Amino acid sequence: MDPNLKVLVVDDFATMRRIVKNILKDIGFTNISEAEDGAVALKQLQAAPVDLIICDWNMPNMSGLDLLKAVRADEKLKATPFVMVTAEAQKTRVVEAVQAGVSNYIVKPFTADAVKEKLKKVLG
Amino acid sequence: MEDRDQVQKILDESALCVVTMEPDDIQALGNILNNFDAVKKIVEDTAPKAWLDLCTGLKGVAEKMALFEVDSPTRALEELGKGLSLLQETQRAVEEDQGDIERLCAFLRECPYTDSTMECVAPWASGPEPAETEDQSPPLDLSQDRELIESFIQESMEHLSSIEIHVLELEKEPDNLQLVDAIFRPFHTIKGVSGFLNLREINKLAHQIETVLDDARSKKISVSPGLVDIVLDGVDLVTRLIDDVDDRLKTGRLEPEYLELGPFQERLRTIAEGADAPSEDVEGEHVPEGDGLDVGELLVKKGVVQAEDLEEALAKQAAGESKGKKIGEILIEGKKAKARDVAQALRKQKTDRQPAKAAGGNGGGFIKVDTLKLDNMVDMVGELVINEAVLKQRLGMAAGKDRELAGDLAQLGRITSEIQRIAMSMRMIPMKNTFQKMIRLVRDLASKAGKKVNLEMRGEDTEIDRNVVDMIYDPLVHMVRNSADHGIEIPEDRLAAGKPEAGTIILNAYHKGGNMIIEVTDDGRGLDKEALTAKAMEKGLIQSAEGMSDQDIFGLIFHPGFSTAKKVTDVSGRGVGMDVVKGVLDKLRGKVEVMSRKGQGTSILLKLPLTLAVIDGIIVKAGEQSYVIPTISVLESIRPNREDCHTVVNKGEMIKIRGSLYPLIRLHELFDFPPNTRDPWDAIVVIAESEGKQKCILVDEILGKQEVVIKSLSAMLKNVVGLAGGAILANGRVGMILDVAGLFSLVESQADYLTAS
Repeated sequence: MDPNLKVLVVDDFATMRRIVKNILKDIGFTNISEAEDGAVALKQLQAAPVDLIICDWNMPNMSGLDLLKAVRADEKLKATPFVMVTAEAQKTRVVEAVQAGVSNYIVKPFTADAVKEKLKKVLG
Repeated sequence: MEDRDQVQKILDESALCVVTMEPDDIQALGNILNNFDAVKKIVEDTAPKAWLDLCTGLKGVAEKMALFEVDSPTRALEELGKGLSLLQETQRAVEEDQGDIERLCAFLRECPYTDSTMECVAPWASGPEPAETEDQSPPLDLSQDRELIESFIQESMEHLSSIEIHVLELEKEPDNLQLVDAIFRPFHTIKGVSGFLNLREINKLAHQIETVLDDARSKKISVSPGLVDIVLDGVDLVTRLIDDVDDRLKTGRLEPEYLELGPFQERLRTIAEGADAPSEDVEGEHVPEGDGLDVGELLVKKGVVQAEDLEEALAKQAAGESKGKKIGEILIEGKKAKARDVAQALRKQKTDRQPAKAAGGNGGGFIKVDTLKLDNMVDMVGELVINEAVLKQRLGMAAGKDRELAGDLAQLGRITSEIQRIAMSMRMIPMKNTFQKMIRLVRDLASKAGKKVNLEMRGEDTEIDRNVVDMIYDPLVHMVRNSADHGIEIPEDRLAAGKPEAGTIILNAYHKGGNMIIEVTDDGRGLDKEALTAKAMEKGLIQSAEGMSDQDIFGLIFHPGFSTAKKVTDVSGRGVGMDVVKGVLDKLRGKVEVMSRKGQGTSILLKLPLTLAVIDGIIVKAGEQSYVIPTISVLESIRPNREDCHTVVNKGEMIKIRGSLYPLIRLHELFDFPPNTRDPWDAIVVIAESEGKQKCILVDEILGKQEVVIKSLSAMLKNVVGLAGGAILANGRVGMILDVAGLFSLVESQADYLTAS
């Protein structure tokens, strides 16, 4: 994996963003930005696209699923790898995300290895 | 025909995809799932059931693969491929060929990944409880990122207080699903993160509460007062658990505090099972209704009811023909509208009336900044301001001759004060959060005491220094408690006194003359002056009430150990409280004022400086030193007459002003420097006040009044009693800021020492 890839971490809980960021840093990524909900993320993405999006499901203003749909509907962004972070109880809704074109998903709570493995798959 | 071509095309594409993809390629699986949906939609009405069943079955296989639920993904993919080619083959022929149908059914039966019952949708059903391990939470693993846990604690606390506010709003508007959502989300997040940090108890509790909320969100259970109570209790429990983690983190204690969660969980279970019927009884007669006209208008607007019918119904209502009936009921009776539509209109009416939720702040983003950095910046800006003043003084003469220089100086002045304003505003936060915390307090107090209390808040957006907010919280709690507990009467008494049954407490915040004013007003029984003075005499605080002004009498409540409550309740009336308020206000260099009228209510006014970083000071000179006395502590300054200066045995020097004697403080003796004048009648005395006591401070002259930025003293000088800090004065020199309270106690301890020896 290219450590210079630009990654956007979207989560409304700052601690969660830190957890994800720490894992990403462990894997070797250095270029990480953050957004606190889908709406903010979309604005950022439209201004400056990234190479990978890691996004929580439950967020105020714009949920992860809505962000995913918006990204897939946007000509410029639609090819961006999009990894959804989801909690166990929502697995039934995973299918929804899969059909909306999610690149992969990670189930909470996850380990650094699990993330690494998923990202390898997504980024090839 | 076109449909068939299209189906063929989609199937071909899917088959190709299956051949080329990896079995765990989620995105490819997503495409295939969408393709199945598309195919089914096209041929829904035309294709035979067996064919459609196979589509559904195969979609189920793809879903299971996406959910990683198959034992061998590679084999599942193979089966998917086989199934797809069967679909391709039979697509054109199937209508006529019974054999094809046989083949489809056989495949469905035999494929190990298709669900024979065709129920392949919800593979996970409802959320499983996090592993039910019996051991209590394990010792906190501090090898994890400690910072992470700290930030979790801080953030969770913020979330919990937001939950509390939302729950209380929800109690008022139980149908507002947005609020349920706003409560659900933070619990969900707390659950998620606590899972990571291995905080099992918190994780479990948050999960259970979340489950109940999820049911409320999906309308499986209704939002009842019971639900509101239990969520509030849940907030308390989670808060305690988090506090415990915080404590363990700080003390290094390994064992978690034991918290009995059983009864709470039992209640949760009852709530979750208890009310399974949604509260809205659409067909029922009791359609809750607000203003009839609006409902009618909504119905007309929606085209459910004709305008004429509405008018007719309204006329009926007005004529008393259908007396006491709601407009909705009349319309339903007259068969002009269906109950369902009316209920919908009612709901819409309700949501319309809710104040538009602030949907997404458009005020730009926020960044979190270390308060230390901010304090540093404010400090440096203070320096800048003073430096500007110094420069102005130095160049003042030259500027008189040089117009350009004068212009530049004026511009510098404007910029500096603007920077100062901005820097100060950065530390300002609105009172809102602090005020909102009182909602819960008042609610709990009122319900405990069987009272009805409304809390009104005004000026919540008024901003105040962050540090002041933190310190003002406790006093505010005491004041609100006093109002709710002692001020507001029980409903019977209120009715008997001709007041509305529910009492009102008003919190108000506003700026006035460089100060922040916070008012707590209640319309309760007011302070009883006789009771106050009687109590004070009993306690020996005063000899008689003679000559005491209202302010003096009300001021008695600030004496430590003073409480007029006849009954000691578990929330207030323990004889502590108002003296705490006074203490904090003194520390903040603020003031308290009490206004009260018996039978009509009490209003307590806190006057606070806007910021702690700057004070308004009187600059005085004693010897070669300059001192700053906080203006708020200064009552007046005079040059006494020679005959007014006395020396009293055991009490030292006193100055008589308007008939009262005030002790004299000589700074040169306390701080040991040679004075310029020793005789008060040749110098000036400043009369300063602290904690209700007045003393005179001897100084040589008064240099002026200035706003100074407080600089804390270095470690070596920090413990010097009587000095609050240092400041750079307009002339560029350093002046010490006097701590009047400290100064007084210093003098008193010396006097005691003298008397003792």
